[in-house]
Amino acid sequence: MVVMDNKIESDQRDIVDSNADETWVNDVTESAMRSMRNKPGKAWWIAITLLGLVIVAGVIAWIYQLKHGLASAGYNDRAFWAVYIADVITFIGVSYGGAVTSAILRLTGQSWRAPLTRLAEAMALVTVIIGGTFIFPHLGRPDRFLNIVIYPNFSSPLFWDFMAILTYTVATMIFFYLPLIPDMAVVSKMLGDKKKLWQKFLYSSLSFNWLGTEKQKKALHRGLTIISLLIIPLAVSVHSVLSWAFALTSRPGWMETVFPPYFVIAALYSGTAMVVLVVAGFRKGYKLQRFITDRHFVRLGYLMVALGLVYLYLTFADLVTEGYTGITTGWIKQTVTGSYAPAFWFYVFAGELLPIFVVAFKKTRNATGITVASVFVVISLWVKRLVIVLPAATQPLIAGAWGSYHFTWVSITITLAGVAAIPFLLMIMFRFIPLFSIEEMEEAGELGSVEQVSAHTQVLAKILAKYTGLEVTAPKASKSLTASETEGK
Amino acid sequence: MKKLFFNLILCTLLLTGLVASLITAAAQAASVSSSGSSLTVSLKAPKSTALSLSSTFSNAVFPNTALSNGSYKANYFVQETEFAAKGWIQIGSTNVSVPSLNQNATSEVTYEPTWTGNETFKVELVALTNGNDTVVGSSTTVFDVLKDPSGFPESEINYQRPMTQVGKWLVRGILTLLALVWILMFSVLIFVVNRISKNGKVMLNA
Amino acid sequence: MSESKVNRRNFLKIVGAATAAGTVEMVTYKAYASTNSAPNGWKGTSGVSGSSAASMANTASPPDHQWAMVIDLRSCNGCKSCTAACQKAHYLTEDQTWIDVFTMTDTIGRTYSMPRPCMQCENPPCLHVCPVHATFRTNQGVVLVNQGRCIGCRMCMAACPYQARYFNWNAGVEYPSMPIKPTPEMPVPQRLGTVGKCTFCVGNLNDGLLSECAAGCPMGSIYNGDMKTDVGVNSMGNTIKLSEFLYDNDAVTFKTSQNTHPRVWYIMGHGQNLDNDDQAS
Ligand code: SF4
Ligand code: SF4
Repeated sequence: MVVMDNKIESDQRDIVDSNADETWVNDVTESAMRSMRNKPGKAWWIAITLLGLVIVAGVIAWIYQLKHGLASAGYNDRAFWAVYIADVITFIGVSYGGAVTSAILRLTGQSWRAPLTRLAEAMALVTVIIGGTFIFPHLGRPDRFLNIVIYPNFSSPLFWDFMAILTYTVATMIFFYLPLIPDMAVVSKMLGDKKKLWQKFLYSSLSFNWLGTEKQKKALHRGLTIISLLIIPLAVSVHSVLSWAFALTSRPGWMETVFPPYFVIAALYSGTAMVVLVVAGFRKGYKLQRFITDRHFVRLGYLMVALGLVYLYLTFADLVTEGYTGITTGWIKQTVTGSYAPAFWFYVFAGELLPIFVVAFKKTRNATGITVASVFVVISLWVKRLVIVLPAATQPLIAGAWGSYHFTWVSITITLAGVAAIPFLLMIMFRFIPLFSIEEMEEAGELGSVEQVSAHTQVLAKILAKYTGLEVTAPKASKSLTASETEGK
Repeated sequence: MKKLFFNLILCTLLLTGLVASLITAAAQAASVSSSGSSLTVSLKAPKSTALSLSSTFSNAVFPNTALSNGSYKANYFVQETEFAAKGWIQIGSTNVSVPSLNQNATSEVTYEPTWTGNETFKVELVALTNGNDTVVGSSTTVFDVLKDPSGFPESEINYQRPMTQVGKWLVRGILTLLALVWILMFSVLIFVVNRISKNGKVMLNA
Repeated sequence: MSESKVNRRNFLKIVGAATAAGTVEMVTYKAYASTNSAPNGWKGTSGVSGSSAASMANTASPPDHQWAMVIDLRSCNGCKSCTAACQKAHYLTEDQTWIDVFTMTDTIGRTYSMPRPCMQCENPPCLHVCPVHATFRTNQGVVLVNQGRCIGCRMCMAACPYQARYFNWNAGVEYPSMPIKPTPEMPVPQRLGTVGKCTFCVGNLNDGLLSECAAGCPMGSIYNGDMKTDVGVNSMGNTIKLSEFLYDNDAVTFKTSQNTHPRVWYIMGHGQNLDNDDQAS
């Protein structure tokens, strides 16, 4: 623990520039709003166009699939579940990772999280929406989707899947929205009176007279704590129920008690990796190296590898339990040495060993190394989900040959569209909201040295006052803005 | 006159019907009996759950009274009409003791009807001569079964898994929990927003 | 002759051994009959909690019947006529083998043919997992799919231990215009994006006719049965007293450990009624 503390302190020095002055706080606000500047750069436009094209292609593929049936996506009676359900699990899993990482860091008061939470929460929101959307290409009759509500069968795991995902999505929205309130207020004041209608709604109405008073902060913190506490069991429930869609059948390879934690850990693992990717992307794109340092990546890297090891252990526990008695070895053989072996071993090497080595060696233990490892983790965990879904689905339950699944352009395009939708939605989203929570950055700054604290708060108060144009500029009022005082009371 | 006669018949029919159904309510079966030329099959309903088929074989049908006891057999069948089949399913068999001159022989089997409506029964008298079975006479009868006592177990029709009873409460519990979560989520949201906006207003006005 | 009989007996024993190993795990009708009615306290009024699944069924006919099926593997020659007849009647694609004939292998490597329709489980896993009650069980013991409600989630395909469910992955085969709309009892034409399976041809059965597969079997291996009236009939016109036939021939159900309580009974064998006994030596 002592070691950790040291790290946090040194971290703080990274995050908080030693000469904490007006420039620094200006910098925070400026950087946070970098993505909202009036005219996005050329690179932004190129990226958004390309991503948009992929999404359009995905929609076209989906329309094609609707017309010609799921056979066009490579499905058949033995491979009745395949790529889309793997996509659903992957996207929602990634979302879970984002939300829980953010919630846990919040609850444990990890101040280094400050520049990451907004990105993580935004990613969580975006991916859960995409994951939820992927249920539609998965269904044979998406037009009848509402039947789940009209004729609910409470004994079906899918009904509870639906309820869990819905609840979790709403919770993610609230979790995303609450820390946004102070930033909205800042933006609103910055824009002044020349607001367009939507700006008025988005920034003024949705920030609800936020001034940053002590009482408001208290309310916000309390709410955030409750939602953080709530979102963890909710996310656990989502993934447990998702796993029960498999585990509540009698299929060898699926009917296992280990499945809920298995899925939960996989989700956390891939989610942390995805946080790394999103953070890396925005850090690069908006030049946030000053606030998001190698340290952040290393921290996330440690977290990721720890989760990865737990997942590896669960994978092993799964295989050994199923395989030992020899009753259900068919799918294991198929997974480990059969036609799914390349995919399985890809997961082991690229998704488990690679990140361990990357984090273990000092040379690679940096932003680039961990980002590369995260790419592999996310991809290999998607592959792993396919390896969970396909062997058990395609196994012959009576006699005869194994079924097989073949990718088609339809399924590939739709999946890629989902992948493209993550940066696409995030990039558009951050056109309208700050990249990180200015308030949390302020607090993170305050947790540094005492001198810095007072300096920061005063400067920040000044700046806030500049934006708000209110008399909170007085030293007294500015004092009331400090987190240390809030905690003192 | 004609009308009266008709009414009378109708009344009689109704009455017999009533009586019949009253009787058969206990006996569960009523008979529309028809007899063959040489065999008489009549209905007895001594039991409340089963139909007793008893046959009377007139002396005339025993061509060879010299055969020893046990060499005559009565086989009972019910006709199956399901699946468009015309199969006879054997429902029982009894030995028939050879009667002395001018005496009738009787035999009886019990049968549990499995559905209501007309059922056709057949009895065959078989003589075992020289190791061969020879059907020496047969008769068919239609019985109108009014009640089906077989009682196919309800549990087989509405089979449920063991979790059902627990499951009901489990579902209610989880649904309640879910509702609580939703209430909590939105009350947190409303609480926070409300506090912030109220306090902000106060500060702004101050 | 006596030797072949011994062989036959051996075969049954071997099959029994194989079942213990888990490949063809089965329970005899005798065991079933001895514990006939379902375990105590499992009663309920409908197969599922919640909304009325059964109301979708044709409940016009009271449960005068409890449909069942007996498949006599001693006379099955694996010709797949049943599959063809079923596919023709229901306008199925070649892949949609609602009744499929599997080639099974016993422990000493001999093979036998085993037709597999939907088992019409009394405890159907497919029904329990269907999120929209599209799968339901009629009071005649037949599990049906309402293709007008099915959302195509294929959860039921995951849950069925017998691989008995088939999805309509594509537009399917050409079909003539039908006089009536598709019903769960007669889901023709198949609807794209929904799941289908053997219906026991319950419409036929209620009309007093044999199911398409039973009628199409040239060997008379498939008997349609009614547990209520205790009758079974095959395409040869053989009428059996169901319970006796099952008892006497050591009928078994398939994958009993799944606790599905199938309504399809098998008489074990490897086609020995077809002079296949030499296969045994
Ligand atoms: S595919 Fe249709 S019948 Fe099967 S579980 Fe889903 S909704 Fe029910
Ligand atoms: S065999 Fe399969 S499809 Fe048929 S009732 Fe049983 S579980 Fe359902």
